[in-house]
Amino acid sequence: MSFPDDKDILELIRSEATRNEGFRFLVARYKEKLYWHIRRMVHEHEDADDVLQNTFMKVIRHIEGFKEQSSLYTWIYRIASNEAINFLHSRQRQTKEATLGLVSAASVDQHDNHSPEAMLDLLARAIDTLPEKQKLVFNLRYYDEMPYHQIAEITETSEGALKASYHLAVRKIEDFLKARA
Amino acid sequence: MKRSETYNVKEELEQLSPLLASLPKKNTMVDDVPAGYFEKAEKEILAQARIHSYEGSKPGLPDGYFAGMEDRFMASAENKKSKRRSMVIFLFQAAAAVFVVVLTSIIVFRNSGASGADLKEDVAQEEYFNYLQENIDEVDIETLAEYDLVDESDLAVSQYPLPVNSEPENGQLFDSEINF
Repeated sequence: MSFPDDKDILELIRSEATRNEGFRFLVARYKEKLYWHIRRMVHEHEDADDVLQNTFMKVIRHIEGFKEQSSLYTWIYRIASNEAINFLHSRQRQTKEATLGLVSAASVDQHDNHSPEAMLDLLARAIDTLPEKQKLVFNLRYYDEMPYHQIAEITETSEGALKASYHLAVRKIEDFLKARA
Repeated sequence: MKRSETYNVKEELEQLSPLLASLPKKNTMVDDVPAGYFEKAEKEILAQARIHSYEGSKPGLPDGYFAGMEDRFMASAENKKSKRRSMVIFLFQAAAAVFVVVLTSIIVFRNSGASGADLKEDVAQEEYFNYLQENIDEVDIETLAEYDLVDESDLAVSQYPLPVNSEPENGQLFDSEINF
């Protein structure tokens, strides 16, 4: 399905007559990308659903004040990232870590440690050991294959610092995998 | 996403960690997403967006609304007060008019207690006729005409003066008195 580009979506939203149509395109264009971005951060589907709804409501409430100093794409990702991190802070990560640890341990027990499934479970556990912002950077680069300059807009961090953060995250994950594989 | 950027990501990862680069980027969380979730989520989000859009379209306060509020309120109160005063005056006048009509009716009713109409109802026609004949000198000519004791044509004013020293004939007294 093809959607209007971000510029056209913004124009639709800014006109009262076409606002709802603009919102429809916006949600259709970004719902799955944002869901998976959020889901990788919060793990549980129900939590991801809550954060996704909150993200879109913030986007919809504030989009008329969006000054296009960054692209709509990175602005929306920034809101989603903040919502996800705020959610994790509010949960103190305790429940999530415990749940992920149990599930992952069980999964690893069911598979050969070198099987792709076991390695992916290990990867999930390894990513979850990263600090929240480093995990965010790693996910955006590794899964979304996002250029550094876009990640820089989302995280409001310099590209140099991002590269350093990503490289360090990759190193940590590799060490984690090698230690447990 | 540009292909060169994607290539750069892969190349970078291969340089950084061949182990990590060799792993498939399989999404292991897809299976626990309920069927039709994204369609449902889109509907829910758009429903909330419509509510927000509706709330946002409510008319705001015009510029200077609060600045002139006191004057408008006082003017409105004065106008209402004036209307109330006019209404009281109108009601007072209406009540006075009704009072005058009722009072007049009572007076007329009481004063007309001996009128021919009432008598006609209370007294038998024949008895009244007899009474008028017996007391004809005490009754005015209109009452006599009302009870057909005189003809209307008899009420016409004569242009002819009554002859001097003329004596009415017997049996014609009645006629002479009405025929000047």
